[in-house]
Amino acid sequence: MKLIIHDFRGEDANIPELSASENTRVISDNGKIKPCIGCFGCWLKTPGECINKSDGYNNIGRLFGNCSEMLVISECRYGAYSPFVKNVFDRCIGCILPFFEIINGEMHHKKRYGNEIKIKIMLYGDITGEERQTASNILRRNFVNLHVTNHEILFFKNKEDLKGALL
Amino acid sequence: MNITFINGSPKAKAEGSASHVILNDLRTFLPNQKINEIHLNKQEVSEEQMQLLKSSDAIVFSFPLYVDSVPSQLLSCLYEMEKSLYALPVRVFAISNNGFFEGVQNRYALEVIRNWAVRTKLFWGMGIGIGGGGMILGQNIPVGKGSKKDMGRAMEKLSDSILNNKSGEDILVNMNFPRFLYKMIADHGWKVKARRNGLKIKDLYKTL
Repeated sequence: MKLIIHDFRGEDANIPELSASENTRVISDNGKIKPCIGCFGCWLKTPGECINKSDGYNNIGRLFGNCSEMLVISECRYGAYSPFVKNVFDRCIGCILPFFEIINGEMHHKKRYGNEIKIKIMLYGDITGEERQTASNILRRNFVNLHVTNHEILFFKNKEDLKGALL
Repeated sequence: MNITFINGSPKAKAEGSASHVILNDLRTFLPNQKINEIHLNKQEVSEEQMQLLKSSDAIVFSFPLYVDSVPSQLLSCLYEMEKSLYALPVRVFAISNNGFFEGVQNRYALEVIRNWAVRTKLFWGMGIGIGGGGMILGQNIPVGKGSKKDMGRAMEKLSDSILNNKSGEDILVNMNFPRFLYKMIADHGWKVKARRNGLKIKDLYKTL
């Protein structure tokens, strides 16, 4: 299954490249997503799934754990994802286990699922050199923490350029 | 000097967060200072909170590391604050804490706050990254002693930078405690909590 996560809204989101299909699931912004509150319920109460079911974004960990390909489209500001896409990643931690292991000399969480994910991250915005560096470093850490080995990061000056690259 | 502490934990109650304990520890290095504390656990900043921030000489963020960066609700607040605090004479400091042992894992989250300060045309102070966040809550260890020895040294430098309105290098510290023991206790702790929730250990490994 391919998973698309994006922060486009309105007309921008209505393009065939961002549409769900039989083998493609899409996580997009309906304005209702609630933040992760760090309760660890997705590890210790309902393992693998967020306990907050009020907004419909409780299955993100399951989707991460069952996809083979992921496309992430996000504004980049300060070197971070947009708040919506960051929220999706904050709510994804059910895809890993609470238990720790040492990877490259640092502590990280163990895998829950055995899937190998090929991930492509497309970031857009008026991004400074420092922000680009910060974003690249954060994403490299994300790949370790989410056990992703096949990855690509692309930067675009604006949404239109990014949409052009999707076609 | 007007100092505003920002607790960036998304938890409902500020007191239940390691970020709050860290700010309390920092207070001990800033005696006789006027310090306000706000809790940005929602996706927006209230008018009252924004007024406090606007009248500050220094602001200190304290937040948990979420997926290698700043928690999403705090990011939303940063977008709002960029507009409202633009080019004010405010110096910005940040303390990020994480559940992994190594404080170094916070370094890029601190950069996010620094990049925000640069975009907002504020003055950057310095940051501290604190590892071993699992040991901060529920322990009554005075900062500068025992497992919080290095944390104390870092806070001494940060408070000096606040009081002298100057910038400094980021400091990344671990708890003064063996990593293997921290890992062992933490892994055991997950199992204890799961059992309390009526789960078996094998349930924790469930796939969906």
